[in-house]
Amino acid sequence: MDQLDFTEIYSQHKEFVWRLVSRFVVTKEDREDLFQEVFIRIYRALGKFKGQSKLETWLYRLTTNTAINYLNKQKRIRRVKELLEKMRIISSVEDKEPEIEGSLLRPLEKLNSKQKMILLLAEVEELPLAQIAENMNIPIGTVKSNLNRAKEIMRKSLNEEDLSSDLSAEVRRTKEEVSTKEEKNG
Amino acid sequence: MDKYNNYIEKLKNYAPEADFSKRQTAIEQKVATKSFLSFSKLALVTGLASILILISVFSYSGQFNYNNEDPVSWVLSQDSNNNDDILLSYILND
Repeated sequence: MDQLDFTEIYSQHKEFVWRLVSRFVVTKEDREDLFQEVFIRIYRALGKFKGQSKLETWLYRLTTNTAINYLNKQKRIRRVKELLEKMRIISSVEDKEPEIEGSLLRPLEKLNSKQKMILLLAEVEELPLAQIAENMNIPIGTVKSNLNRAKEIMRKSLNEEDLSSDLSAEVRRTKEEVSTKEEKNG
Repeated sequence: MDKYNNYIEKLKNYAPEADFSKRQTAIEQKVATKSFLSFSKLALVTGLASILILISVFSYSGQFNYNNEDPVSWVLSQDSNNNDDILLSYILND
């Protein structure tokens, strides 16, 4: 395949890849890095595509694998940094916790990379489970079990988030009441 | 609609902006740079290997003096000379 085909592939699939990586990683830098990484891999692997599977399946497999590997690598780097900090080999790193864009993506952070990918493909992109299994090269049973587990974690996480926001609102109200009383007494 | 479904709906509507043409240029530039770097590495390795081969050929070339003999007989004669030398030194030492 040549450069022209890459341009065609890019124009046809860029939006899907962008949508997927935007929800899969949480920071702007990671989103841009991952998007670039996916298309660089596609560009390099185009010559190896033998046509044994559909081009779309092959592309999506490459995208999902690259994204999962990217996230796992980021997590490993963060763990090593934390370990080095504990051992006082390096000084405290400022970007210890990634700055999540808004609070929308925060609940997804409770999932592991595979669960997150399956949830996004099944629930947000609404792809059939069989296609997800084919794209990710895993049995459909694994897709189903990961999806159910991911949903369970998400429901729990969303309820906890609500509970914690209710609690913090309650604490805020109590503090306000106490300070009003103190003002009156004082 | 429960919290989960509501959340999924929000995710579906989440769409950060992207300048795709700028990104395509960046990707192509990066691929071109990487290809150039890997080509340079290959050229460097090939160059070094050729230099090493040339050095070994030149350094050994002076040691073979066939004197218009057949190379195989020359090698055999070298070997038998060595054996004779060993045998001679053995006898003399004894």
